[in-house]
Amino acid sequence: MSNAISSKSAAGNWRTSPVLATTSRIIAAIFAGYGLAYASTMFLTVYLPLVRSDRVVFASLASFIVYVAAIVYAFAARSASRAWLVLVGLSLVLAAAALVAGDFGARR
Amino acid sequence: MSSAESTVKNKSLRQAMAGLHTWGGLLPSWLLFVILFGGSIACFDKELEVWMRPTLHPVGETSLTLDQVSAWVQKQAPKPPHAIWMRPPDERQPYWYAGYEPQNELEPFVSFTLDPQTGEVLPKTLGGNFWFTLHYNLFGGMLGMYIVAIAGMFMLVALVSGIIIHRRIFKDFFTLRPDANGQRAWLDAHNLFGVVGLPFHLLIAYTGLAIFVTFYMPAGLKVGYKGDIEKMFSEVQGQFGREELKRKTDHAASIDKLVLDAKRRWAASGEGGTETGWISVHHPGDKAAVVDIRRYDRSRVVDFQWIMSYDATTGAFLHEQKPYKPGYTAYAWLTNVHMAQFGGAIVRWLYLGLGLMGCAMVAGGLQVWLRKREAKGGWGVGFVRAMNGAVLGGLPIASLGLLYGNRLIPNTVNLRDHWEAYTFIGVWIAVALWAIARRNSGRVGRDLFSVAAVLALGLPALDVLTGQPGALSAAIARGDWRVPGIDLAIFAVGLLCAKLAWWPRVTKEAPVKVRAKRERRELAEESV
Amino acid sequence: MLFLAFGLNYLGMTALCLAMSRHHKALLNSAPSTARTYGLRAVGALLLALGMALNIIELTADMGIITGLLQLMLAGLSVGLLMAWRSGWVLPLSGILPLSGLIALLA
Repeated sequence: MSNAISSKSAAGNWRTSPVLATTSRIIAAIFAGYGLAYASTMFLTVYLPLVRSDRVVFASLASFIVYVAAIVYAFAARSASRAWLVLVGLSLVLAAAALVAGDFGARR
Repeated sequence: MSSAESTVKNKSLRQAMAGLHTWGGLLPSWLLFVILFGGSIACFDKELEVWMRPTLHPVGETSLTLDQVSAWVQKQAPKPPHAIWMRPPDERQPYWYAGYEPQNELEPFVSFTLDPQTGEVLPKTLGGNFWFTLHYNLFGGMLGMYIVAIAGMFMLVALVSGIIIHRRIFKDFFTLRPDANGQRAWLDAHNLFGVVGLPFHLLIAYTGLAIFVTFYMPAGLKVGYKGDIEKMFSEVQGQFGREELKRKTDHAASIDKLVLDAKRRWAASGEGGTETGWISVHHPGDKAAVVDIRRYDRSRVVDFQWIMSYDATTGAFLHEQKPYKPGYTAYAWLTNVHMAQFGGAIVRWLYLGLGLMGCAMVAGGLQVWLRKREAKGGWGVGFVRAMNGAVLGGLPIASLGLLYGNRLIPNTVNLRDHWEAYTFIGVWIAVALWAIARRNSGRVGRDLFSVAAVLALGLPALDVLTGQPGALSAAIARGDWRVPGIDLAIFAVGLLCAKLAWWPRVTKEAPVKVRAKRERRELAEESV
Repeated sequence: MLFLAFGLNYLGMTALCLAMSRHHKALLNSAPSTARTYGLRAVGALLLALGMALNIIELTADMGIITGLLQLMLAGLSVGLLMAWRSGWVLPLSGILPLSGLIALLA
């Protein structure tokens, strides 16, 4: 199974090993993907222009879609490193934006 | 980006997605089969429950009142319970449900089913609920629920990646070539069942996860409600609740009278009906006890329960639930789309059919994987064959075995529901062991179909021989097709299994045509 | 009305099926022209949309969308399975089903 990333490996060079790359993508998909889903839920819970109960419900319902998209992206990205970068980076940005709002997220 | 580059990128994307689809589909396939099969059968859980309780008389009026059942249930609890729940008999469930939440909130709910005429506790059975529970938590409690959720996520990812790689999604639609070479024919079937059922598969996988969203995604609770679960539930659902005062009282208002008041209030709106659903008493026996009366509205997908809350001691009207806000409406819609309790039997028949088609899609995918690698052999092929026989054959046959056990285990046996479970497990293990041992014989499928055929064809006879005499014809006479319908449906399945076992289609597998003129591009999905 | 809706779904799926040259050849012994292909696709899509609309009109939207999708899927499956095993039934049914639905509606 060839991947978008290079499958040539100089004898035993772990850095370009496709097994490592795939494993890395899998871990990114599962964990960084969940992180992105979590962060996007935080973000939407704070910033959706709705009352609190509706914000929480819609933000949470959207989380599965974000998670699936993140998983697919982890395998579609040009490289495993890029996948990590994008998923973790986006998560941090969204989480920070949510936290920065302080108590605004808990408004009724 | 030049077109050559974008083609290379696309090819790599398709290959990556093909890999994701193949392995992401293969790994959870057997687990998904169990979940999909259980869920499909559970569409008729209430009908199966009636089938599995042959001592039930035809639905008549109940001679029990809510007050009687409430008093009875509270007596069953060794310590004053946290709450009691009751549900009077209705068309689809002709018996009382009653249960209590033990005082120690860590202990599980204790429930009883009562005969509507005599109030006697009915003989225990796993009932139709068995497949429902198997479906949503594999009988594994919270851990089981999380495993099912993970399988659900795998399913969504497999569906999305499948869509991405199915380049000829519209060109190949309607194309099913049963006589093509093995892998091609199975791929056609896998694609047909997958694409035709795409709205269903996507919706069901998503809604199944959405139902338990509060278990899987706590971020909203943390950020919006600072972790206060009670507050979140009461705000989202608009429900009423109050703490117990820890002061006892013997006085209790008549719940039956409260139900009449609730029905009056519901009737005022003119829509949604006045049928009651679950009725609960919270902190029964306490001065602050509350009675919640829920409505059951079958006419819409969203079942607005319009809960009326009353003081349990004085009967004073305390609170009515407001119409759901958009968020909860959306959540309720998604949940009920999954649960398929709306729209009558035809919706449930279609869900059953589509669910089993989903199972067939999974089985087809497994066949594609196998056919591709059979020539090369290897331990993977043997493993997959073994799992296929053990799970795809084992679960349906064990389900039939459960029905046999249900009728053959005497009512006098105390823990007969446990014995039903042993029957189910025993049959499954037997089939699994045998399928594993015979995995490379090439005959496993046919032999499993034989066993299934014998059991399924014998079911109507089992029903007649072990049920109440004359019950079947009496049911048909009064137009109650639940139990006869199950017998007929399973008999029909038996005929299909018999055909597949004893008169298999002799396929001269069409030789793989060597294309000379126009090179046929190998489809991404065929290369993995 | 729902029976008619299913008939329209089935007819629509048949139209989409005919729009594919392989199936057009199998059912009508001739290859479709480009114009016919596009025309059949348009008609098919329209019929499917109409079927969905009838579901929503007859039931409430929240239920109609679901029953509409169920009918859509059943129609697609039927055409697909019939093409594989009883292709001679596909075209006759595409007339019979909507007609019966219409009669049932008017009766």
